[in-house]
Amino acid sequence: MAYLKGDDDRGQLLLVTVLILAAAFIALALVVNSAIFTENLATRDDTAGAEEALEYRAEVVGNVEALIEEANADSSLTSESDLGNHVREGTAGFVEAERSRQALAGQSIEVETEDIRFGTRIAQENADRNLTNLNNDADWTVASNVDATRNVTFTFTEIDTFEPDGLFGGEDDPFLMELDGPDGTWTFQASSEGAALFGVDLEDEVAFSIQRDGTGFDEACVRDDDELADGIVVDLTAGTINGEPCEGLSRIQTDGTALSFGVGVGSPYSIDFVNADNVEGTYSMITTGAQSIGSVGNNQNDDVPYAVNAIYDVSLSYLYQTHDVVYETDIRAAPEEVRHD
Amino acid sequence: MTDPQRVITDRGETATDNSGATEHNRAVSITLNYVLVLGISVVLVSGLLLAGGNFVEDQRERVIQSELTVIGHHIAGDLEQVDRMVQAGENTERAKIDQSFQLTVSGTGYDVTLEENPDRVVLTSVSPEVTVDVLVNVETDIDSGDNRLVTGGDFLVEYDPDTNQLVILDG
Repeated sequence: MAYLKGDDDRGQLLLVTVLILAAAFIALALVVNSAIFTENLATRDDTAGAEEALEYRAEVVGNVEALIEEANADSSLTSESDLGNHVREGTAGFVEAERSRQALAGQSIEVETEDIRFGTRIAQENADRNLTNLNNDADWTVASNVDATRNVTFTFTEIDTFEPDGLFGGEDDPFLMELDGPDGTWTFQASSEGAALFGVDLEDEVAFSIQRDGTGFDEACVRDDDELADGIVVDLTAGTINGEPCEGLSRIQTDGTALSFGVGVGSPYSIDFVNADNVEGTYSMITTGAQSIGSVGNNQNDDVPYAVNAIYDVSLSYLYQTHDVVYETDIRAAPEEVRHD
Repeated sequence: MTDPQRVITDRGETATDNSGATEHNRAVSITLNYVLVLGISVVLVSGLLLAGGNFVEDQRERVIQSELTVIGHHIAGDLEQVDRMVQAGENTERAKIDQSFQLTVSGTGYDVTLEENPDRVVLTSVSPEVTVDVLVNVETDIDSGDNRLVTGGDFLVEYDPDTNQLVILDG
């Protein structure tokens, strides 16, 4: 037995153990402290400005697209320089107006208009006129040698394409808008009687559909022809009728390929109207390229079709900077353009 | 007649055991006593310390793992943000995000690298060695070629337009 009496050396081993354990617990406390800091770190937001770089880019695109539409709609701006100046000044204006607010927020944004691509707006504003050219040709070339087209809208007030032939027979001469390019053709069809094509009786109705390279019109958007009185608005580039999306005008097919405006045509291409005497209404489209326009007027008017200068798209350089984020890129504003990437 | 029992007490004295009331320390060695006591104490104490040390070490590794995960998620978020910037623009020339974190995690430094297949951020602490993978979901390619190790602290997540890749650098 150990001798325990008399001396004052009690429990030294216990003391040593406890001291070492205490040191271990202090280390544990530091580790736990680190864990608490981690929790705090986890709740922090991402770097300031990272999301705003993208959000502001979208704002700039939206503002410039609005300026483009404004310039194109303004009939007093006829020359390319007038149109261009409107957009350049407008862009510089809103960028400048934001500057002091941004400086306070610690951001610096630079937007420069680099390049403006001009084109032609081909339109007709007379809702009671058919869609023929100045010479009243039913089949005519609207534009040839076109590189790209955007914002194609029709407002139909009359569609009468069925030619009766006898009691039960007849022929349908639908109105066609054809895009014919080096890679293929693309067609938009408006028809008032589709029995010959669909095998279904479509009296009192009108049908709109698209096809590519002759692969059949397998889907159509059908509307009552009562709606023609108010005008049926067909937006080909957006794929909508009276604002509602319609699969007959823009869809993904079963094999995964997209069928939207002008797909698979290549460039440059030509735009033709066929049987334009069977329909009435207004239309508008903006084309660009080394193009030659069909027989239409030269000034904006509300009687006959015309072709005037328009802005097709604007390319800008965009630089967003804060202390921690830098984003420098090019952006392109082209309202209602269908991209085939 | 034999002598009365002689005992050697630990004071080195001899005493005569007549009354039977003294200690009985037969075949006992004091050294052995100490050795035994110390031996048992050492075993117990070291056992306790080992368990305690392991416990602290364990907790430390767990904390390092969770800290690295948090940092990894922040970096992954930055990568995805830069990727979004690149996808949104045309001909993005510069896109970078600078973010700072602590230099050490629970007292040890750490390294960050990018790997592909699947795209991920790999963080490794120095000692104890803990590795954490955080998956990233980006469209642009990731530069994992050099398996560049970036030490902890300031990070720069950048898009390199020459190689069309996302890269992570020392900030």
